[in-house]
Amino acid sequence: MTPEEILFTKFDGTHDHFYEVLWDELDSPESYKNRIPLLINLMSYGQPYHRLLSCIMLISWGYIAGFQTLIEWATNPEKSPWHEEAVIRDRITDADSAFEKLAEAIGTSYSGIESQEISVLRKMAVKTLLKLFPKTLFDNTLTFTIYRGKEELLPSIVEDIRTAIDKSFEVLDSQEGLNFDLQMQVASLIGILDEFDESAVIKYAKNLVKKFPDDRRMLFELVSVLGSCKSLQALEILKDLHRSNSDLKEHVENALKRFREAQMT
Amino acid sequence: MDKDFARGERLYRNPSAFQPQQSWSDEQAKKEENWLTLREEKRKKKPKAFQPIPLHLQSPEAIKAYINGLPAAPKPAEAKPAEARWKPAPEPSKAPAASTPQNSGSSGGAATNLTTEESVQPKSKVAAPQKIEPTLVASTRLSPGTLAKSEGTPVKQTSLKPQSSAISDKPQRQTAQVIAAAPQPQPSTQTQPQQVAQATAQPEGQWMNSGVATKGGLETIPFDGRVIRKNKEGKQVIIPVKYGQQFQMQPGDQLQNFFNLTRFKTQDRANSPGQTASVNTFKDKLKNNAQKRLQSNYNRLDTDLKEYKNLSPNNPKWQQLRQLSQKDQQLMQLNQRLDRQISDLVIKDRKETSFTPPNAFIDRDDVYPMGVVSPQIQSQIKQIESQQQLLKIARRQMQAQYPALAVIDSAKVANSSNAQLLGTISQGFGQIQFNIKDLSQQIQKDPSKALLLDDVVKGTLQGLKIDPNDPKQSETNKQIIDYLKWEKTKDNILKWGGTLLTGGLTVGAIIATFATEGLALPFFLGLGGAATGLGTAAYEYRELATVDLAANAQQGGTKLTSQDKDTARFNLIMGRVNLLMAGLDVGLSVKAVTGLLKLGAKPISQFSQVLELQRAGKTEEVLESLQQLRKEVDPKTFEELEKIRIVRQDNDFSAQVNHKGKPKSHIGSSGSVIPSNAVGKTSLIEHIYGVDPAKSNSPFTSFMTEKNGVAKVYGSKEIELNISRLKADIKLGRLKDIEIFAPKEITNSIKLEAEKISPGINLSKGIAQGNKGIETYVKTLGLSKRKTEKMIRLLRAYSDTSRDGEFLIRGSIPKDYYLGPYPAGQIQQ
Repeated sequence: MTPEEILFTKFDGTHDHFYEVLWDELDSPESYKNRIPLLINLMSYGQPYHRLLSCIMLISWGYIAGFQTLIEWATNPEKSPWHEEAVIRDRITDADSAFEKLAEAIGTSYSGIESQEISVLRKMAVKTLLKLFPKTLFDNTLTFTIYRGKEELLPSIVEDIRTAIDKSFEVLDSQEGLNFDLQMQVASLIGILDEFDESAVIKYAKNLVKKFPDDRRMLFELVSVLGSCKSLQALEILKDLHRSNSDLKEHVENALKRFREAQMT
Repeated sequence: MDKDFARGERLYRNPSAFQPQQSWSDEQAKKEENWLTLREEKRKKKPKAFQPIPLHLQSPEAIKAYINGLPAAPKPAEAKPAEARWKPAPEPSKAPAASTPQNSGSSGGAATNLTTEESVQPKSKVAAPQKIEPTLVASTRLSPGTLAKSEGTPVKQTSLKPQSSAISDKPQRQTAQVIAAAPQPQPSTQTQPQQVAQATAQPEGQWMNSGVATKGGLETIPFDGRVIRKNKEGKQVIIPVKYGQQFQMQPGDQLQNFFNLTRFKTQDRANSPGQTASVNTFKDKLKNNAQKRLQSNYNRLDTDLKEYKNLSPNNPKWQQLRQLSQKDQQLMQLNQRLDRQISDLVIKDRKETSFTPPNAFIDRDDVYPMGVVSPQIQSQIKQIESQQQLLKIARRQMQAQYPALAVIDSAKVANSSNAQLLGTISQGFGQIQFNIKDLSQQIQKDPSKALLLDDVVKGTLQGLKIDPNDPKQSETNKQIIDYLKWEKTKDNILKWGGTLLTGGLTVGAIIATFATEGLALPFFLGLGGAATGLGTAAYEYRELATVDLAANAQQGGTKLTSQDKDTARFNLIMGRVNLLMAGLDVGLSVKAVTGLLKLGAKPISQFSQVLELQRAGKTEEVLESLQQLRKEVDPKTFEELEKIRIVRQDNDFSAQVNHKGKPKSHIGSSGSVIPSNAVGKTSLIEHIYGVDPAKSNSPFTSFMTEKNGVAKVYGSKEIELNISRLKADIKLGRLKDIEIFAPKEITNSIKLEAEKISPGINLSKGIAQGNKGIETYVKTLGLSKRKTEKMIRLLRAYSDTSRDGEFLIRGSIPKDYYLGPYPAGQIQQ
């Protein structure tokens, strides 16, 4: 099979979109079993683009080799096959989005094969990605993946999350030129902390609002996070945002509604 | 396949032995790599169709070559070694007859203060043998000492100084002057086949040598161009470089820029009406006036820079400068809004009247021609256009009063320290001053270039007591007017606009009426009294009694210190601009907004709807909502509305392919934004998924919404979409094969896709809890794993599209419908 056939055809030979193929396996893993060795081979020796997609597939389907490779690439990103030139880019920022797609694959793996080994590797993989967080585009995807595996992941990665957030603020403070939206990314990540350290969430949120009072994307994420909080300080921030950001009004109102509903219960 | 399978299976069975490698190790891999390398090289060799560069980097020889109609590329057969390619600049008087523009008629023109470097070059130096000398040549962005010029160019300060004492040569400008005077390669001696190929493929431009590096080091490239480097085998390698790029220079590297221009046709020049005595007299006067103006402006920059340098950190002038910059930005935004207002009126007109425009009336230079709308709204449009004219004048006036506004970055000004501001001003002024000198040289050689300074033209006409609007003209006056009209209508003029805008620093910033759209006859012929009053020479405005009068009026006639005057000047400008803004109806009809100063909470939510409508491109609805709101909303809220921008950022808009040769959205040679595949079959949803092969076949280009006028910087350059205008012209049938998908439409498409998986799904509910609740919600739907994952992806896309205010445009976007590309994060006009 050619790389295209491996990555872009369903088990019955129908050509399809990469993700359609990927999702298809989740319902019929047996049909794709003969593709695994080919994928591992492609991941090891193919062109950078194919290596990345193979890895995404293997992780999503819950294969150890995919996680091992991800951990290796994330530990030494300068040795990743696409390090010289990105092979997948974010359609809005044009930044390299390879690690974002890999992070998403970790989330998808919750629909794939489960095992003790995979669980351990998933934690390791997320921890490694969190180290890249301040300098790598993840949009809100890594956060989403962590939400998906909250119970499994959180006990062992809370400190990594804090470190990632703190380092991100250092990067934001340094006004280093970034080609992706770090503040929005951070706004989304701090939400993970809300259930056990809301004061930290508030502290980070205030800092972000102060630094980027008009940043629509960041505020959008932040409002979603604050709507899940319980403290009055969160309510204050939401009210302020309601006053000062007319274009997010509806979104803020929804968050306020959620906040109030949570108070009622 | 068997081989691959076996190898993969081994790894599969024994994961611990698994060790990813960085490259192929077999024959196939080598072939693949070779093929990729070849393709990459081929891609790099491919010339880019349009590479404008800052005007200040053009050399007099380049201009001369252009005017002469010399071939842009040398004949390969006459190739010589690189060192010998540098030849001295010929002395103007000894230049071939063809080098003097046939229509200039200015050889005997009166002496002017500004003198070109060329005219003071000693012959002996001009004729000196060619040798690379370690001295500096570069724009102000290059570190001194890295690039060298030919020894054939005069280097001594005295030899380069203009005769005028008024223009001092500071180091920063010296460098630029040296470039200007640097000898250019003789076409007949250029060697590289690559260069030949590139030059022939660039019908509207030519490569200009700008310097040779004498030592290595990291440099900031001052223009789009290329570096020619010799490799170990002695072969020349061409490396494309970009404006602002950090580039590791090696000794011997030649830096070249690309001069984009369109040649005059000899035939056109021969037909020029500029041969009569009266026209020649006019040109001489024009030239003198222009040179005087240029010199004044040049001095003015020196004075201003000195002033800023001497300001203490706490001096209120720094704050004033910041406020002015914001105001300048607001004026620009208001202008854009008025643009949209016209667009809305046109749509409304088409909707409400049965007026049919003449078939042939589609003119890309006149997007909203009067002829295309019904007579009923022509007066409204004219009124709006007159407001735009005032805005234009106000901006010019502000920039004239505070030239620093032309060079500081309004997007960054609030967060810049005084020292950073001073650095920007100093650098920017240096470049403008070089632009001035460059233009001065060109005018000296060809006075018709002074026609770019339309208020100088106006002044010259006034001086000769010529009223272009007077139907009864004397024969001599008629000849002059015919000449001006000819200059205006000839279609082969320099592409000034593109060149200057790319540099971002224009001579026009301080020369009040530099026309970027070409020669500016319509401006001075059509301007009303108000414009004449306000739009006269910026320089004079500051120097004359106006400021003192204003200051006296404010201070009750007491004697003023210079600081008082400065304050008065600031107040005067701000006052005028505020008055102007207050007098403009940014909503709908004239004066509607004036007086609506306070707003309550209710209008804010109404405005939120307006914003949504605007984002969705529903201009008619916006129109109605604004009508509804205008009695309740104050100008501040309108400003808020103004701050929304639809932008796209990219490091290289001209690149048609990415690293892997996969097509991407780019700006084509026609200036249109072209998607990966304008007729591609990729669906909107597939585009959002964004993984090849679907994406490289995508007919869509993504744009995002940014608030407060300033987009975050994701790429080095950005373009801003005029969505209302685009929408309007699609509706009017002027644009075919192009479609706008506003955030609402994108979310609707997502909704439809989600409905296919789970009929009756409530997407808003799905994202109500944000990221946190998406999976929980999807799991309540009882879908298969495949459908669950797909639904999760759709819900996330649904949420992200709302967050980003993403617009997708299907098809190619003509250049009239976007601004830029400009350096990202900046607001540019």
